[in-house]
Amino acid sequence: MSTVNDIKHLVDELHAATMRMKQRLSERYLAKVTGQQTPEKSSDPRSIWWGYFPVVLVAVIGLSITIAVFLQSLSWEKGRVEIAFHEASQDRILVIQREIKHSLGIIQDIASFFEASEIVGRREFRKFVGPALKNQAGIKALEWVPVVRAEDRDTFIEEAQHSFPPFQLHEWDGSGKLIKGKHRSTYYPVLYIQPYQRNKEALGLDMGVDPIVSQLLIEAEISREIQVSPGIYLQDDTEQKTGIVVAVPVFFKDNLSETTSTQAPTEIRGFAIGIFYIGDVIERAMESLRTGGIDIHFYQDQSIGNGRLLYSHYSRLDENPMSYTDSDAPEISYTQQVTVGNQQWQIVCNSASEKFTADTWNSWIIFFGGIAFTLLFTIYVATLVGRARQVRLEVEERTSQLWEVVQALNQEVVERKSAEQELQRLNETLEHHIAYRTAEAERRAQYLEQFAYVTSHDLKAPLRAVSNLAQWIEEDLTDKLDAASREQLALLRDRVRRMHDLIEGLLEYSRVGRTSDSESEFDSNEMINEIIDSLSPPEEFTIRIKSKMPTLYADRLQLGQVFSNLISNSLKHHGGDKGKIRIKCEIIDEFYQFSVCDDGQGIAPEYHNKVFMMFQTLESSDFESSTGIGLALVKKIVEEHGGTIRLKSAIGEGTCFHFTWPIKHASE
Amino acid sequence: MLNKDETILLIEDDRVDIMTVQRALKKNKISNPLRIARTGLEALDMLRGTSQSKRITPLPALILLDLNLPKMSGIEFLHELRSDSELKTLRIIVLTSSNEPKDRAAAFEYDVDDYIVKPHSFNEFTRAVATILALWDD
Repeated sequence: MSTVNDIKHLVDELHAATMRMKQRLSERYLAKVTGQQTPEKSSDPRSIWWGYFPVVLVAVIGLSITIAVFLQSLSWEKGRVEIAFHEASQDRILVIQREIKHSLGIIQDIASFFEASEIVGRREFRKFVGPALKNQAGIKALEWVPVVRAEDRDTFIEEAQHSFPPFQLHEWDGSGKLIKGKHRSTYYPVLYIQPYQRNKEALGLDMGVDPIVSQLLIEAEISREIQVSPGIYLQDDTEQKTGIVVAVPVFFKDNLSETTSTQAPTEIRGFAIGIFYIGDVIERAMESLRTGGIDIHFYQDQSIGNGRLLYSHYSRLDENPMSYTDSDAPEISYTQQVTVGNQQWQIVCNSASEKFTADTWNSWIIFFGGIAFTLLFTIYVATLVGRARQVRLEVEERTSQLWEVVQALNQEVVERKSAEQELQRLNETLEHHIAYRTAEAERRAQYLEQFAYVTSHDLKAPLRAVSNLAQWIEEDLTDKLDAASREQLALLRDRVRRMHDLIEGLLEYSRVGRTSDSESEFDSNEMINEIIDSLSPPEEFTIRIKSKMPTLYADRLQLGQVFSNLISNSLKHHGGDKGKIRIKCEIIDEFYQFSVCDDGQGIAPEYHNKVFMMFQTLESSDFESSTGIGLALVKKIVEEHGGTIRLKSAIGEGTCFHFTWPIKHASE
Repeated sequence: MLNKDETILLIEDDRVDIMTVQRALKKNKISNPLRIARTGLEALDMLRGTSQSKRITPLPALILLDLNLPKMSGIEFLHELRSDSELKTLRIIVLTSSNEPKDRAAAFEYDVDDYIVKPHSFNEFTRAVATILALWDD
């Protein structure tokens, strides 16, 4: 009983452990579910702003690119305009230079003319310079100024008055009045002058009086080259204009070959002089060009600040030219040095109209387009980043949830493992207990068998003694016993015999199962015939074997006992005076099915189960040798060998016992 | 058949069984001297003459041996007997109430001449004794 209690206890423990595990698992699952509602917030706030780093980057890069492209475009536009302006300026300067050169060329031509002819009369001079005056603009006067020594003064005046009576030698005094020429060592009187009408008072004017002209003439004589004066103011009708004086020295032909520096003054004959209005020359030059929107300023010296402004040409496109020169710095400017005779002029060209204003609207389109694009792209990137961040946060959240689940699962696994181990331990204990119990059961069975053996053996001896003694009494008192006493003694012997049979049956019953290793191969037909012989059935009964009986490998003794018991059972309980018993064998699957059938009184269905029970007999105990053990023994043997037994019978229809016996081979 | 003066030794502890044998012999008209030992030890003494009990001389022609004996079982007695150089040739018939195959096998191990399960009824017993002695081939 103690082992049963132990096992019960173990099973209870196992159950409790399982319940604990289930409860813990469900708790964990609940925790997991509720845990989903309170996910951990992202711990690092910096990472949020780092997420917007690309947005800022995109904005900065977009803006930078836009501004760079804008500036580049602007400078490109400006450069293009500048190049165009420079080209236009250079064109203008070239044209002006050519015009000036042409103007100077006129003076050279006059000088050459004088050099070529010994005597040039007033008419010749007028004729020679006529085309030039007609074609060349800006000429104030073209003059021939001979060099007159003091000793030759009177002669000169005389000759001059001879050809042109009103000629007088005179000069400007300091206050701007014409006075009679003073006596000097050398005179530079204007002999011929064209156009004469506008320059009447200049005729006979001593050019050497004017310091600038005097200087110019001296330089021309020394250098024997064309000399150009700095800008001077000239009175032309009403307005004062800037002009230049150009002088070309003319020397006497004879002495030209043997010139020496010391003799040079004596050899000078005169000067061809031209006086030009710079502005008119330039304007004439500009006439040949299309209007360009360029203001051109001419300065005498190197530097604009200190240099004297000779002339300013204002573009004809300009509506209010003065406003630019004074206040506003020109947008584009181009400066070039130009050599005019011995003078250095600086020409400064300034843009004066919209034409040379850089076309910036393209750049502005680029700028605003770039800004707009950058803005849109930044917004797009910001959206993307925001979404990515949201996704990342979600992923983090999910990951942490997943992690929790994983943790929970891990915990589960651990718990399951420990539970498994516990289970295994319990199983082992259980197995141990079972093994122990089995061993005990075997020990008990053995003990029982031993008990049965000893009991039956020890019971049999006194029984036999009782039986023998009863018989001896009967024998010894044959004469003295009356019939009643004799019958009683016979009854005594009979009861003793029954007890003996019971004990024998018990003994056999207990013996089944412990003598199972005595299997051999034998012919069942032969065995059954032997059994029939040993049972010695009454002559009125016929026992027939109705089919071919197999040769089989089995426990001969026990199978024989089955047949013996079944046949004797049929004989005993047939109920009639004569009868037939049939025995047959079939093979069903892995079994032999043996049948023992009789044509006796049969057994009512309600007793079919009872007949196989120990000590159950369907007849009174007076009936001879019916212990109620036979069929129980049969059933035990058949089942012990892995077969089954069943009964088919009804009242008046005979009884059939069918039992199966496994087919075995010697090798198994 | 036994000679008339040859001794039969019966080793049996149960009085009624002794009486049964005596009566069976008497019924079969066998008058050979019957000596009785109540235990295996006593039987050995009688055969060897080592104690106060009277030694059987000459040695019995037949020993009827019960297996279920006090102090020394029949099988133990057989073992002693067969290990004794003087006694090992003695003829023995086992007469027992045990029908155990184990006992039967053990008995035949010691070269017994017959193994008889004591019949329940005296008549059968008498017949059995008669058969044994009749078939005795000396």
